[in-house]
Amino acid sequence: MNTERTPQELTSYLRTLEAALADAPAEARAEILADVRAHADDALEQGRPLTEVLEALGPADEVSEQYRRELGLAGEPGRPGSFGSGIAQDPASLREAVADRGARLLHFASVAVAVVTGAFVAFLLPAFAVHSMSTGSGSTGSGSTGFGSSTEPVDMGTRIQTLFDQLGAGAILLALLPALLALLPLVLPRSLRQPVAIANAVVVSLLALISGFTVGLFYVPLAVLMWAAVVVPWRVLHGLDLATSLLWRIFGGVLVCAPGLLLVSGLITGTIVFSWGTLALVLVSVVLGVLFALGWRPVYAVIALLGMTAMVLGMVDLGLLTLAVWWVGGAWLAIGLSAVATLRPRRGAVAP
Amino acid sequence: MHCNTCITRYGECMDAGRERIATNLRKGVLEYCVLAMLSRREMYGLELANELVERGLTASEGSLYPLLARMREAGAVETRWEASGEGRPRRYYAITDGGRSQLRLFAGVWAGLAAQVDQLLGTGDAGGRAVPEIEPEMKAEDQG
Repeated sequence: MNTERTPQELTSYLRTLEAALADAPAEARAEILADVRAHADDALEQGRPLTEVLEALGPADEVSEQYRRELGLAGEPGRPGSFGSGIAQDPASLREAVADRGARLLHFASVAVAVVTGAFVAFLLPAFAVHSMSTGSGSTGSGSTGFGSSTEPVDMGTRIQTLFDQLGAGAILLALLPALLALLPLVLPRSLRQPVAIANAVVVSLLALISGFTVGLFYVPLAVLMWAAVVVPWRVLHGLDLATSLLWRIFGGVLVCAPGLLLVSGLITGTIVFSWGTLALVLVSVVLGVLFALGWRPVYAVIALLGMTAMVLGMVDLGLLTLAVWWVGGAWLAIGLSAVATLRPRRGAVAP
Repeated sequence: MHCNTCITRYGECMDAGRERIATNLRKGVLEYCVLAMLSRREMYGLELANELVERGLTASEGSLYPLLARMREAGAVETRWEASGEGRPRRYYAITDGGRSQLRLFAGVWAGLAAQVDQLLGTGDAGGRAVPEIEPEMKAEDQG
């Protein structure tokens, strides 16, 4: 028997087997093919006809299926029963329920942040543009307190000119507009939710960008939150689960750490003077980031709450760092809520 | 006259039924039969396949190799290449210590199981008529 030349049928049998096991580890696949080939060669040597040998082996796809079962490889696509796949996929209905709940959570948060941002911008914040103009001309528009315009816009007790002072009722309208937009995804039919949410995110992002040198920068957290309301439910629908996705947790953890890391780099380069408060901030942000990456569920809500607190503090205590505090707070709020929005209901509980 | 359950002629139905029972039973013991054969001496693939088929322990030679692959992964058997006289080298399968202890465990379980089943079927000490008992039932089903 000539074993140098492999019969055509055997070659194609082995090729089918190899293709069906394409995703098996290369070493295991090589051993499988060597085994089957040796079996066929030996049988041919004993004088058995090739067709009988291949028939006794069984169809190549059945043999490969048995290999998959025995070696714990995942079932081939389209075949029922996958073996050895570690985590059971969520049923689509659960993913839908989680995505829906997450979307509503993030949209509610968007409304709240939009209202707060509007109030902040209209009533509390010095009107940047107007202020710089008036300091430029050296006189104030209102001058109601007698102090006039000072180069220190945040001096306590100074009558600060706000957008409301400037524009009156128009300011309220301006302030409420993003809030109304944010409300739309919650009140419109569900089929319109995602397109409207995307439109909102784009509009608010543009607003933040166009008026970036005046009040726009304060709308950045709202824009981020609105993007989160678009992206997070969509990813959840496609299988994102923080409990099993280490990569996303690390990504989120790094984002949570970022303010702390910035402070560290500031300390190193000397732009920030060391204080125990700074050190505490660094430690808190790093601990929160690490806990986030480790997937400790309660920390998500804690980060969101701390973010909200930071935003409120930034509002109340106007100062040089107001914008930075506002942004960090907004980022933590968006990250924390996004993480909460991906959470599956605990075992036994059913999502509404 | 056709079987209601498997849509084959009566005789074939009996064969199919017998084959199904045999397939199900063999599934669980094939691995240990391989270990038992290897505990006597090292063997290469075709040798194992031939003996298993001769003994009626497997219907498909193709299912032997996936099984061997798993047993190898589990450490019950190991392989080595050996030049076989004149031709190309052969891959021999040998039982490991782990495989031997598995085989001992199986032997104990099998002895108990076989004794119980024999006793229930009445082919053991009591002697009896349990096996033919099953057939009239199938015939009745066949007619109904």
